Amino acid sequence: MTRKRANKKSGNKKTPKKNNLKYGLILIVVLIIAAGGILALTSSNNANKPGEDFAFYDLNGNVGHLSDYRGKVVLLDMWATWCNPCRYQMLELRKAYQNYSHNKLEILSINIDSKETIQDIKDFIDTYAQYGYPLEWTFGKEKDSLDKYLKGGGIPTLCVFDQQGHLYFSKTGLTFFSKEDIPPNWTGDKTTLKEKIDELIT
Amino acid sequence: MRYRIISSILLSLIMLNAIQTLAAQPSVTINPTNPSPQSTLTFTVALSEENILGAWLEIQECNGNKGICYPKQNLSMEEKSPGTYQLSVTLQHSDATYMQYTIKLDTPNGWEEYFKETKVTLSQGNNGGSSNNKNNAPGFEIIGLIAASVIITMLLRRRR
Repeated sequence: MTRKRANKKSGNKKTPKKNNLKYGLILIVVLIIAAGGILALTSSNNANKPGEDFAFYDLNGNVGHLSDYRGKVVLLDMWATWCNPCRYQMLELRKAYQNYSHNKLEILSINIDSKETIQDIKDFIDTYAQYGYPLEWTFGKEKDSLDKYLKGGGIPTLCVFDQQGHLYFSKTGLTFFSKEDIPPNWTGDKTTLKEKIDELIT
Repeated sequence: MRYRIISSILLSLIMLNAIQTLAAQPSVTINPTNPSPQSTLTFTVALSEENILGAWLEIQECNGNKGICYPKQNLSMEEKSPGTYQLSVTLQHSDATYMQYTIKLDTPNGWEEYFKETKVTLSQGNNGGSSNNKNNAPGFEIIGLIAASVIITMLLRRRR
């Protein structure tokens, strides 16, 4: 057999392999596209999932729920009266409350120390009012445990929920309202309340 | 004359009240005096007040740089001798920069708080600042050992 014939014969043998390679590549591309589509569907399904909910006691002893505030961005502030950074956090939350419409933003400051009473919270608020810093948003105590939102147990811990009640952002540690409020020597996290709220409220 | 008598009686009553208040104030010592994060420290409370049913220590650790406080600990103190309560506590958080404590006494008249939220800055050095290597470069001793072993080796080789 001449070399040409042999090559022709081997060329015919190579064709099925090339076809297999082609089909394999096409299959991989199709799988990648399918995976991307599934991921897209999954994320859109998350958006359609019901928002989060928890119950708390307000200062009148009535039960409130996160779901009562659907349609608003909710800032959940977990705190205690003895926590110094939490005390400063109140001043930053006050700026947020003053800068956004109450139709668009709500703040829930929920005290997570089971040993503190509603009267302790009221006395805390009264002290701020006496010094000219009224804290006029919703305060309360835990009813349902908020442990799942507390990262490592430190406070203050802030959670931002979007208008559908999905957890959008959370952070442990003092959070300033805007970049201008951050002291020059601040070495902590510089994420601000304003930038996170603005991402949700247009 | 009448006014002098009245004012002296009032003054003596005020002083007596002040003395009693001071006498009732417990004293607290903390050992070591410069604790560091995750160190063990001993609180000793000396009371002059009698009929104490129990003493509790409330302590919380915080990081002032990050603006975080960790959950409070409420710990029962042990009565070492009449009027003296003691407790050893190991701090839990490596990144704490200060701690705050409150002494709570259980009395027949109810709970009394002393040294409410007293702040203690935690030293950010080694072992509560008791390190002996503060003024030496780290690894200085190792360099000396290596140099000595090299010299000895060279001397031994020369002898051979």
